[in-house]
Amino acid sequence: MSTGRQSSAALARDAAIARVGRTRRWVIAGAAALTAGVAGLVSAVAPGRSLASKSGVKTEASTGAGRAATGASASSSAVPQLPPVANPSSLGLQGPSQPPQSVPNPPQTQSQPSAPQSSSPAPTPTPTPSPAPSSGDGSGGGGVVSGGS
Amino acid sequence: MRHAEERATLEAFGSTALLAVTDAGALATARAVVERVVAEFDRACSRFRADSEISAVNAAPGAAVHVGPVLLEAMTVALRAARLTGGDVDPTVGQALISLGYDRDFAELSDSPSSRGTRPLASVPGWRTVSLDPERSTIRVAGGVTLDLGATAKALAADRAAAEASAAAGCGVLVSFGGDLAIAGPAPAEGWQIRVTDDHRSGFDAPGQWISLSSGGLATSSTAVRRWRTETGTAHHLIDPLTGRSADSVWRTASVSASSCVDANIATTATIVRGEKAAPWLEALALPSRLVRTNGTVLHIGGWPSEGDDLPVAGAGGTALTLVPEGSGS
Repeated sequence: MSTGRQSSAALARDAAIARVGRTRRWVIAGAAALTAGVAGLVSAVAPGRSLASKSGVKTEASTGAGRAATGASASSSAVPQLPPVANPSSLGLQGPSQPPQSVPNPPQTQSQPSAPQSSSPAPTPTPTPSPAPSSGDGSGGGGVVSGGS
Repeated sequence: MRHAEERATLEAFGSTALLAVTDAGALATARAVVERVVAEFDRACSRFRADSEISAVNAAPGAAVHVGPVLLEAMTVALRAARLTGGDVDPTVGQALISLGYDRDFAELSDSPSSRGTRPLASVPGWRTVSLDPERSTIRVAGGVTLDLGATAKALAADRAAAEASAAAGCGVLVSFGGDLAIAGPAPAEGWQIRVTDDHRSGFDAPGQWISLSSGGLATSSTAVRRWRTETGTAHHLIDPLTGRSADSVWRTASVSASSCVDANIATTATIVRGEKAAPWLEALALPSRLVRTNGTVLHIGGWPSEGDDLPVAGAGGTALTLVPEGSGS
């Protein structure tokens, strides 16, 4: 008798465990299907939108290109919009349209104020005030010095 | 050789500025424009002025400070420079400069380190601590951040001044702020003749090289200028963001030609900070460059002409002769 009661209790327990397992699988499958459905619905209603676009603070990465793309998606939700062509200056440092040329006959001029200069690599670690302002020297001659400042 | 252009010198951004025009009759018009642009940038971007916009931003960490279009553009350019150089050109080096004693206009710096007291060295917070909102025209910095746009704002001002002066004067214009120069409008027939040296205050007889340029910009950064004494040794104004100290570079001077003075300045500043790695970087970007090592040898890369340089071309001693373009002649 006691063996029969134990067997019945074990069967009941096993059946309950099985029901819990089936229920869990249905819950997982249902949640996944519900998530997919909601995601599909949102992407159809508001393509290209994101929570980030509602942020009040924008960083340097918020370029005009990004804003243009957002505006395009808002006005035309049916057709996916390609981002506009980026401004070349945002892509990288740009070389000159014409490279520097050598100067076969350098200008001869005294129009540039001259500071003491040494060919030694070691500079003098002393601050030197800039030359006083002056008006146009009117010499019309010569060249320009590019150097550190 | 005599040129048709007329020129004027003036004071700007704590250094010498030079304006040259291809039409002598347009000099006054161009000069007025340049002086206005200088005043606008000084009022917006000088950290040495208590009433500047950038001082207001530095004084309000954590707050979104409304700024005008000049500082907004200068900050945008500074952040672009940081992004393009992986942070080697960083606008948040202000506190590091101050800790090294560069806390006032350079002309006012005393040569005595004791006059500035001893300050602990400051780290560089990094450009990502800066928030820019172009739509609201605001800038916000994190606590402990002091902006310094010295690396890029002066070059941007040169680009703006040259473009606006050329438009107003109706002729070719060259504007040089402390040796960083921008060209706008038609150049003289033989191009603008430029002597590239270590120090923009030098005369034409200083060791260097003559080149001619017809458009774009040219910048030179050098550890040989804007130096001062500190308790721990000599410092200069080009800060390595990784250390917060003056960059200990293999290059004494870097000159780069680019489409604008800003791009050229970004490249030269990054070159000093990057050291040896800068040469292949410049080569890959096809930026004509003249790099002078601390031992006085010179490297011409990216299409920079090698003729007529007073300094010996880099050779023995661990330098990269292969970077000199073929057929360069020296």
